[in-house]
Amino acid sequence: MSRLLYVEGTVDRTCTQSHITYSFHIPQPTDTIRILFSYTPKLLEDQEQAREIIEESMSKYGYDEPGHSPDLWKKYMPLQNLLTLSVDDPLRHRGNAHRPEMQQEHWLGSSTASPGFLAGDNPAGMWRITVSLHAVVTETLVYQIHVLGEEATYA
Amino acid sequence: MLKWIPAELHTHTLHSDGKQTLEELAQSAADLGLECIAMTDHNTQSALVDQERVQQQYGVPIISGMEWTTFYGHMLTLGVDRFIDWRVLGPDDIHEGIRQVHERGGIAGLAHPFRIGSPICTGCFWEYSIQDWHEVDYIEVWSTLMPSIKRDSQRAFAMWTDLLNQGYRITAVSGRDWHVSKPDDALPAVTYLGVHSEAEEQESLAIRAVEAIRLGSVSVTMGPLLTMSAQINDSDKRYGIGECVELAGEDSLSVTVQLDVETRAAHYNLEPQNLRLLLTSGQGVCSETYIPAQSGEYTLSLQNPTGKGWVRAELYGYMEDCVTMIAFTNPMYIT
Repeated sequence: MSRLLYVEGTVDRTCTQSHITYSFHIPQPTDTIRILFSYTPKLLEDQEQAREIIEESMSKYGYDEPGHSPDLWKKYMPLQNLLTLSVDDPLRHRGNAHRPEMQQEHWLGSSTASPGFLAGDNPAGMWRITVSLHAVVTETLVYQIHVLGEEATYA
Repeated sequence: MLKWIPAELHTHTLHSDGKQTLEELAQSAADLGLECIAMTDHNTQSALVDQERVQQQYGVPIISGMEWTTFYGHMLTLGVDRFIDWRVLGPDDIHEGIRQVHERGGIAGLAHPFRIGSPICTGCFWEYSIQDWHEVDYIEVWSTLMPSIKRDSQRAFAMWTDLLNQGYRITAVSGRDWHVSKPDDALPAVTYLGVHSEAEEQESLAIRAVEAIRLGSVSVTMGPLLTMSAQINDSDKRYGIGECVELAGEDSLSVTVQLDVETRAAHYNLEPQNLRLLLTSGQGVCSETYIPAQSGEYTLSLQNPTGKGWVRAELYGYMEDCVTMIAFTNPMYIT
């Protein structure tokens, strides 16, 4: 097993609705690409900040009609960070893990792949991993991406 | 011969954030009497590796699709089986995305355009700028379970009506946004697609289903199937939903509305009652009548049809403890 990429990043709310792409070289065809992806925290715990953000969103999207309960904002709790990860090999798009878990493990193998991704050859060349920051609601957020290459073992 | 296929056009599996496999989804669809589903996972089509096997096993054709789950809106694409990169498009670039969908033979529709947006439901509210609504193929005007009572569905339905009044021909569909099935689920709506069963049988039903949406041959319901056709004067020619009726100034138009309570009858409960049947147009309500909750056919004469722009049928009544809109057809267009 070889380590192909390890990154750690810190973002704040200004990064919401942006993409961060890592381009990196895989020197030789690889049987399985394994990706460990995690970020923390998941939830905005500060009630007062959450109320402000939710009420602003309700106002922006027309959900704050006069006469509604002052506690209506609680219906949209808790506010969550949402980061998704997508992969492009040198030749084609390999898929996307659009799911809410803050710790994820994905793999791309020649005959099977984890949900969201396409199995197939993992060619040498420049690969890209993109983190799509759909929502950063906490003041800061830390993420890690760990990419490992595994060759097939033959008995 | 037109056949009405009950379909669900907005689904998810565990290839994105759904809680079901494609097999479980197809099984649930078959259990609900659906005859077609669209696979529209968030930003991935990897569930489609099992498409052929699952549609054969469960007898439910599967439309290749994807939900572009972006920062500025969720757009459903149907009939496309190749990845189009949504990540490179900014809030003013959606027409480039739609162009690429059309180039690959697909259609594009707005998903739940009025659901609350970021950061509560990221990208759920439609915020892309649309320069030309002619390029939008459809709008999901009813979303989630018991959609007609939901305020964001009512806002989407009103937006659709406003666009029809402006002269755009956009198809309206329902979408369950189906992530999981539970025993106590509220009532889902169904989108019936009018497909030609004789023409080009060699084409798969999934392809003809996409074509039906493109042509506006669509009726949406939480219960019985509501369809309509029209005749000019005493002519034998019948116009169907989605078609364009060309009228001269002195022509009269008779519209025949068909209510079918037998198809999928086991999957909803319609108590005996008088249902309110409307024909609406660009000029508002143009016919109102009360009909029994049983299969039947009702012919209504449309006064001064020229200039009405479009006409659709709407059905209201008591269902699941609510008095609400139960069904609506897509329009016939009048020129």
